[in-house]
Amino acid sequence: MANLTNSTVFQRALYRALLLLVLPLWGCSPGEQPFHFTRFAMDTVIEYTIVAPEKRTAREQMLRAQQEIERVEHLLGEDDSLSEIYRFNHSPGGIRTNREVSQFIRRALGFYWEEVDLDLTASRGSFDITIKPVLNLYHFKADHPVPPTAEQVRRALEFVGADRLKLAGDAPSGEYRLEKPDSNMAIGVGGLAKGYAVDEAIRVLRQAGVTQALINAGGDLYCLGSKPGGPWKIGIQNPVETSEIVKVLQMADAAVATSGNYQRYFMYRGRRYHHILDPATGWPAGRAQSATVIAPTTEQADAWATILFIRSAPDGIALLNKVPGISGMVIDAAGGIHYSDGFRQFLDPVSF
Amino acid sequence: MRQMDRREFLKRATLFGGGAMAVSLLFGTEAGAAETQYFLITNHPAEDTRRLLRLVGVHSRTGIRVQSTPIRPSAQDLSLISGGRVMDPGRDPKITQALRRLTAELRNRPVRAHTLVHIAKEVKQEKNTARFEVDGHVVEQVDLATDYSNIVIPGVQGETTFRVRNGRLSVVTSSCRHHLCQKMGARWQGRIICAPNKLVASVSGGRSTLDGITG
Repeated sequence: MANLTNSTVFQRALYRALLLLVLPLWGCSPGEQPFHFTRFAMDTVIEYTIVAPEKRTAREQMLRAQQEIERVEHLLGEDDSLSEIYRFNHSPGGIRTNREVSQFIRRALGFYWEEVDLDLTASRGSFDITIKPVLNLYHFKADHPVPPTAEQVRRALEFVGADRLKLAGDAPSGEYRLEKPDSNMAIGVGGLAKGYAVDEAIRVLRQAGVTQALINAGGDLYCLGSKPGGPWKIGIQNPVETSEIVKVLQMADAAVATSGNYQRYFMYRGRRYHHILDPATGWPAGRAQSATVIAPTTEQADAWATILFIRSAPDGIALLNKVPGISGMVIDAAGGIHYSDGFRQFLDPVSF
Repeated sequence: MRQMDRREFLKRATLFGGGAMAVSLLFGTEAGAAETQYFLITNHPAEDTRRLLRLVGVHSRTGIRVQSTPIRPSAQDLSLISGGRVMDPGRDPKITQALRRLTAELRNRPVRAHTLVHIAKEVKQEKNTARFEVDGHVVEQVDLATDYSNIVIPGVQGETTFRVRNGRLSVVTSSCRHHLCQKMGARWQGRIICAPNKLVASVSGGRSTLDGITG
């Protein structure tokens, strides 16, 4: 009798111990699932996918990320009269700015110089934030845009040249200056700000302990970790039939961005005028339909997608092959697909 | 302040349920009416919700929507709608013994509760539908199998008019300046976005396996 009681007590204790061991496992893992949110910022739709045990947690994280994206939007928005970029563009000779903007501009200029360094035949870089005075001539935001005249483009090009911008100041003094030799010079960071905003939002999520998330700012996206059960699957839009997908990528801890001639454009007398201008000519770059780049940061993906789009294949592909950690794909004017080294490894087997 | 009595609670529950049923009929999913929805008035929302879900055999919250609404202090209770009918778990013979016990326990609690918890199946976007969201909130959903010539969605700046033809959704007129959404053409999958209006129309012609699109 006593034996039996003892064994029952022991069994109970054992069950309890087992329960204590099992409960925490049961409590945390089965609920991890992706939650989707859609918000707007930076003139585009921002899609958040956050893996969390419950929607409330995911939502809190999303709001953190969204707040960060809005902060970057106010810092770098070209049309926001309080932004640093607006202040610079409307200043006679430059502005005193903060460390963050100074570093952002330094990296932007870095893409320009990296291309020139890697390609000795290039007289100038394709990624040039000072193209803004020419871009302004196209009035992409007008109701019925009309392309500029050749003379207008030629004159505006006189104010273009990333090599003429000057960054001064340093950390010890705490003073950072961004200077221009001509008051007509202006910068447009639209090609990079979205990527930077995504990177910053991802940084905020990481700090908050999120390990699996995807933020997509109108096609510029970063995949943090992977989703439950495998890598994130990203479709590359068909530039002609934009509701279709040409290739599917499998990604984890990487960024991807695409530049295309179908994103912002207008038709004039049967010709398409899109928003990615070749800084060498001041006219829309004409040899590719789209360029997609995979990179460690969204900012890098953004900048190199622009460069790859402007240089197209085979030039752009050859250039990208010299950049470590970055790979890309071009759809040329005829619809042909060209890959740089290393891009194929990201292709989903279904999309070969 | 008057407290919510049982009749009022049931009326409220029916309203919730009625709304959900109207929505599911609107969405063309008859399945919605057959599903059971639960209404809890409790001072321990998290704990009682967990208990209730366990009792009804739901072990994962995937696909389940749990919404809490603050209410005036009311007697604690459980009610449910099943097959479009409001049921009293305290009396209905079809209700399991365990649920009846939970109901009795709730009703015997002397403390008034401030929370109404509504538990129902998550309204997922059905295949072959277009769903319209303004600033993250679903405002309308239509069936792509039917042709519509005039779906008007009020946005942040003004109205956007959509149409459905042959299972494809497109924008007819838009209040925004650049009409980029109109240029997006007719879609059977993916999205049509009007950023100035903070409007996203998601078209689900088939189950998408993609997590994102670059382009």
